[in-house]
Amino acid sequence: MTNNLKNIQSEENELIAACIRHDQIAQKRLYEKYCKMMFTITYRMLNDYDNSNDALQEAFIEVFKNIGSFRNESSLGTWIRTIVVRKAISKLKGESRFESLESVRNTEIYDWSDGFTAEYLNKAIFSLPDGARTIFTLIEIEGYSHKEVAEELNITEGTSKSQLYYSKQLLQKKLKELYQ
Amino acid sequence: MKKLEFESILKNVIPNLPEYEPGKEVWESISSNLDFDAELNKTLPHLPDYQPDQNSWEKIEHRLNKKRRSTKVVQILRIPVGVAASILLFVAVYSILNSNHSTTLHYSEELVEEWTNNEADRPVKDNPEILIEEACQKATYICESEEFTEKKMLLDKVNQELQNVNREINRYGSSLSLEKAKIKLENLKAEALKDLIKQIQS
Repeated sequence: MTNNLKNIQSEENELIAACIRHDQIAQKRLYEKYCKMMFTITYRMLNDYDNSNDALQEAFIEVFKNIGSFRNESSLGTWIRTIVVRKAISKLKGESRFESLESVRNTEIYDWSDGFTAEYLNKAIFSLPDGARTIFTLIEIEGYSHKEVAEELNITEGTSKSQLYYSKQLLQKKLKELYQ
Repeated sequence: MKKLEFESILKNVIPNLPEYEPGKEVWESISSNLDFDAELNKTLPHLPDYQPDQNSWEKIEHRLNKKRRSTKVVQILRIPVGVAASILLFVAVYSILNSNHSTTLHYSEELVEEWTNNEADRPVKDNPEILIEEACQKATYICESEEFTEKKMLLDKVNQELQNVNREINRYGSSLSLEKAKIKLENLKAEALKDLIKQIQS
């Protein structure tokens, strides 16, 4: 297990070194390794296919331009994800990104004993407003902390927490609608 | 004193304040949210992944190549442009230092017998630098004067810069800035040679 991990790390280090030398085969290998994972993030955040492709391209250009500054302080995937998330945030429209919680204040109480499917949850996530969807994606799917989200989106931790609550209330409402 | 009394009463009374029970729906709501979170955690790993556009890599590759080409051009041009800039600076400094000389215009007719671009191909009798050297060997006292050695040093420096420019032109090809620098240096050289010959003849 430890040997496998070492092999993966040394393979990745070789890939990074080749990318620093502008080796195009290595650049394509790196892209192919991470493109699906990173595109899924941009698509979930932006909910727009063309915009997400643009964000992904710009992010990978930045990755190849700055790969020499990657210092192994995090995994390569985490480093690339930070660049991808920042690109996606810059593509999000500024106006009314974070909506008020008033609309879900007196929400119903739902019974979730029957559970729900990934297909319906996916549909419900895409129905969320931009700000709530971004925060839900970053925290619940990508595992960011409220502090990290607050820094990336330039909001307070309180706003991040309340928007996550808001997004979950909306998700419950939408899922119930989908199951009716 | 009264304030302290109030504080001590407060401390005694606070533990006896009544308690209130929340509504039944509060726990139901909390429980529902917890159930939802648990279901969410079960379902999230099964969310689908998405593929970027098929041409996405080609677009990235195209942009990377474009960047690389422009960086290469900048790198190639850096040396000749640097040399040209240093020569222009040298010429400018020289012109400023010599700006206090009074300028006189002479008109004369020159007879050109044969012309060659390469100085090495010129016959010895036409090469002013060889003529100056020969003159110095015959009459050393002229060539030892301060004015003469100063001009000679300038001529050597100009020759050196000319060699640099020619080397850059041979290596990277000609450019407008290099040609301009070469012309200015050749003019400086001609002026220095003229001064040296004048000193020998006087």
